[in-house]
Amino acid sequence: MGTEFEVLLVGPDRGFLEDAAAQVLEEPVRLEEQLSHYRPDSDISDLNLRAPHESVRLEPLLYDLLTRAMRLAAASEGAFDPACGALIRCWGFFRGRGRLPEADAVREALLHTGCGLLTLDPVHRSVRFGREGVQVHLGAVGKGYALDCMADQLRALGVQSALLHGGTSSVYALGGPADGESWEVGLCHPDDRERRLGVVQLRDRALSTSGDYEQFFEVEGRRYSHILDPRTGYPAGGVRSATVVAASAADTDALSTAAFVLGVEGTRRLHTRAPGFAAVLIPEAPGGGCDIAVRIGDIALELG
Amino acid sequence: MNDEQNVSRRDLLRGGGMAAALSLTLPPSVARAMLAAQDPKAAAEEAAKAARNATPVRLAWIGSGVQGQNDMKQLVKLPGVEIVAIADIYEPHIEAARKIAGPNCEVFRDYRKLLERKDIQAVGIATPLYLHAPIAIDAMNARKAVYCEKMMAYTVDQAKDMVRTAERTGALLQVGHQRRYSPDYHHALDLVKKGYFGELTHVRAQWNRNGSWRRAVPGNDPKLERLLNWRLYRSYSRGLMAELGSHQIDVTNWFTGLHPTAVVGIGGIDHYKDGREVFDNVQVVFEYPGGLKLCYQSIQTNAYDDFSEQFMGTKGTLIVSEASGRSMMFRESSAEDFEFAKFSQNKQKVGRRTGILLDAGATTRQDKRERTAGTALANSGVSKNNWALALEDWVDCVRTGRKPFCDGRIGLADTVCVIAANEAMERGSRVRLTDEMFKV
Repeated sequence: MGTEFEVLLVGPDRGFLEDAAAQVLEEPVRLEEQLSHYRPDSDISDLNLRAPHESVRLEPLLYDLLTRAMRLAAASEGAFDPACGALIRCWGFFRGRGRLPEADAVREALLHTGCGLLTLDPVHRSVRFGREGVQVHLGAVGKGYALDCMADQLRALGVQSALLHGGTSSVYALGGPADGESWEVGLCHPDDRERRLGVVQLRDRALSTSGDYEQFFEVEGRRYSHILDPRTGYPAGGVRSATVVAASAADTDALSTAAFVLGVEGTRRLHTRAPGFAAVLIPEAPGGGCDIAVRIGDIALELG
Repeated sequence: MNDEQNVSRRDLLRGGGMAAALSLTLPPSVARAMLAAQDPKAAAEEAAKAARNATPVRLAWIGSGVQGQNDMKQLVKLPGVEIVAIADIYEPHIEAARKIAGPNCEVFRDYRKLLERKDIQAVGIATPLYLHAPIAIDAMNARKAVYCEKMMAYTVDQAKDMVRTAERTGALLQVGHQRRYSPDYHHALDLVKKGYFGELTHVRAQWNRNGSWRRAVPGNDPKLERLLNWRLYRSYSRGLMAELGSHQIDVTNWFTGLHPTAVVGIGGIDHYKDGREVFDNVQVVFEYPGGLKLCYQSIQTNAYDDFSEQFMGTKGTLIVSEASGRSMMFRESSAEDFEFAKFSQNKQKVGRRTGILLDAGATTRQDKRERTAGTALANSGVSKNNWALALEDWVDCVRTGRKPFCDGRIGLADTVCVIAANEAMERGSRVRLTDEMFKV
């Protein structure tokens, strides 16, 4: 996943917690082997190679993850879409920092983008692509999914208090800290990552943030975020950062991307349809900079 | 295998004895995956044809811990394969396995009851080491095809019993040395066979980690300690040499076509004094016919260099690793005919030296003639991992009755080496490995 995972475990037995930490940190490594777009021998690479030509049977947990991502895609009306690899490639985000593609190339990539091009057979748990060039990319849920799996494992081991994150943009809070009800997670200011915008209280909840400050490139003074709108084929704009809190980190991972793409009104509509999350969006102010934070749903956020 | 030992290393690498010493064929699953990487469309047509003709295979899995679950995840991707039963005694592992195998999978606490099910054609075994042989032998006697995780058996006698049972009953026995199903390793072996590295004189291999190797036990319950941390106790485990080293000793045996004749070593419980009974660091030297040495190390206090095997010859060095993108070649300054140009687009700086990243794409482009002649060339674009290919090949063998690429005799040779290495470390003396030890 090209991401560093960290875990903070709380409990009375240091040796046990060290073993537990080492054990759960194997999980993202295992999932990387399955979900990576960089490794040619991952299940996702295998799917992308073969599914244009044949039905590819998936391991059940991966099949479930893909169908879950597709449900989130439907709920977000395509603002989040796991079948967006062609677009990511077109913009040069696959391995590089990005490039501004020709409009024709974007149109071409859009023809190969979207869950509608995937045919799923639940009986055989197999997937077939409607045409060559379609690429499934689970980058926007993989990190969160890994955190969910790690949290499940920690619970099974009897750990009651932990804070885990993947690349700091996705966090899972298991229980609360030793000295309080809930974990406090700071949100950074899109214009100044050293500055704290506010603090969110989390207990048995996940949080993910998508921001234009994380990964972007600039051409002639214009900034292009790595977060693409799969409906238009172009980087999403209008929002500086979108933070989502929900029960599962896979969901928050996908929904923060969707909220970033959808903007304030779109995210409100999404919340009406699928109310199992809360969000805080920082819209872009007219003329740049950050506008006032907008809360959607019930989020335990204290602005700093 | 004994014939192979008579081939001297010199002959082996000059090409004379190569055909006799090294297998020239690829496991079909590996060949298919390589075709798919080069021509997915043609491979898909083949796969579709195969899927239409594929008879259903009903499998069972015994031992559903971490490794068992990984193996099962590979199997359930294959067309026509169904895992109809699992056996285990630990509830959380059963629960995890059922998520992979599906809700219709029957759960047994006693594997012997599972073996009574007549419709099960094949069973995989990923239990603690000391249980491999009794379960595999019962399974083969029940006429089931067997995939047994490595190391094959806890004792040499057990390993021999497994081979004898396989040969007597005609049951299929494949051992989980999955590097034997790695396109990258086959590619590397091809280069060794072509003499790129000159005469191989030394092999260095290591599997280094920084961590206790201890599984966390739920709720710290002492009743579960030995069940989950069986690798740390001598009644069930042969320690690091078996769990990690056995893969790499097998690669050395495979690439040289030889068995070692002696081993010395030092190990200790020096850092993790937590009640474990197996060494937390091992370093051994094996001697092979003709003087080739394998220096092996596995430590748990420093992960530098993690895991790889380094073949050192008079003309160059080959580093092979399961870790993606780690396989490299280095030329000796005295070797002028190394044919570096063939691979030169993949140069990479490692420390002060420039190496060449092993990428079969370079050789396939350069060597079209060989490719059309069907010479085994790995391709780094292969879309399946070694475990998947090893298990796919096993299922193929179950369907066709073909002999496995990694069979019980390979597993036996590896078991002999591991047990001798442990003995050398425990006794603090040189242990000889005779031809007799490798015979069934």
